[in-house]
Amino acid sequence: MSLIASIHSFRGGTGKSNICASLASLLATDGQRVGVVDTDIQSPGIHILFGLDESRITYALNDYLHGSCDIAQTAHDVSGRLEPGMAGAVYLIPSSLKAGEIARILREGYDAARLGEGFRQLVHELRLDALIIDTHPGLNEETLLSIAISDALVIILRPDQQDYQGTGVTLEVARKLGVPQTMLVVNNLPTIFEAAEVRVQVERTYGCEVAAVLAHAEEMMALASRDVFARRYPNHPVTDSLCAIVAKLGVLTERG
Amino acid sequence: MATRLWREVEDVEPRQGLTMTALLDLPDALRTLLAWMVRQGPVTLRDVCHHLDESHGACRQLLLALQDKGLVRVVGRGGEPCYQVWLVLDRGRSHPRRDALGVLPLDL
Repeated sequence: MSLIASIHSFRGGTGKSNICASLASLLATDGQRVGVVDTDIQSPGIHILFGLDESRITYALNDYLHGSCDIAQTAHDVSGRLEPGMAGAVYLIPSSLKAGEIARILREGYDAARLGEGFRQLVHELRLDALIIDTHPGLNEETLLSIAISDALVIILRPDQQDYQGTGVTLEVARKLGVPQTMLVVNNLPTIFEAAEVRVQVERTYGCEVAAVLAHAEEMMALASRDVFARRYPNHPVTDSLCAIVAKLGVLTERG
Repeated sequence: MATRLWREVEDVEPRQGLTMTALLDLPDALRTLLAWMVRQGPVTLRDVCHHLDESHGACRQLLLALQDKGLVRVVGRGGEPCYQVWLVLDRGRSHPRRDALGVLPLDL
């Protein structure tokens, strides 16, 4: 059975898309077939990390939600961009970058059940081992749906007071929806803090496992979304921490 | 069938579909069942019996009640019928979009 995992943060700018892209890259390098869905319809962006040019996007998630195409037609194989000849594969399902399409979906909405069906069809038709959903920050209807259908929820937070309460709300929602496994990832921790202490403190505060604490990395800032961090810096300590998250998700993959 | 679940189904107001925020507002046992159904996708009567560890007859009555309340729909044609939570999004529809935080009874 395949894994469906939502990567979420209550606030924007937490590094959620960067982490999504690195997790997908690491899973694929390990031989797994991975789908990445950009459900951040209002402000899509993860395609940039995978080097997918807008002109190459024939169909986007918006087109599927409006019934203009099948979900598999929206999948773009970006494996070659990550690592030619890699053992696994990464398929990116981008959201549309066209202002009219973004406005249309905000104005008209779409059939919620179709989104869930699309996720399951992707897993089946692309024979995916894992489907990673890059959610829109905060809690709206489609994010709640993405969380509800997930086997795992990874909540990204920064060591920032503004993130703390929102993370608590998201955890409460996950518990109400009975998400089988939820984990926290603390991102961009200033190097003056001790990661182990922060981990203990966050776990105690939320009563939830911390899968990784990612220290602030100048390389991440300098990369500026031009590439997937784990691919560019395979031996970096942050990549080691990202591998720890993959290991947790790997347990889930074996669960089914 | 757990008395609590039946009572919750009987008490819920009839509607035509369910938003995710409305699902979160449902009482515990009913919300837990419907959240499981959302995660599973379309499920058969047999799946529900197995999940609830209840009899065929009891689960069929429950699914009929959920249909009557407008919470669940039968999907698929031919073969074994499947049941799916009737999900709707409130964005761009008759209800104004609500901030999920505003409707969640959270005490954090």
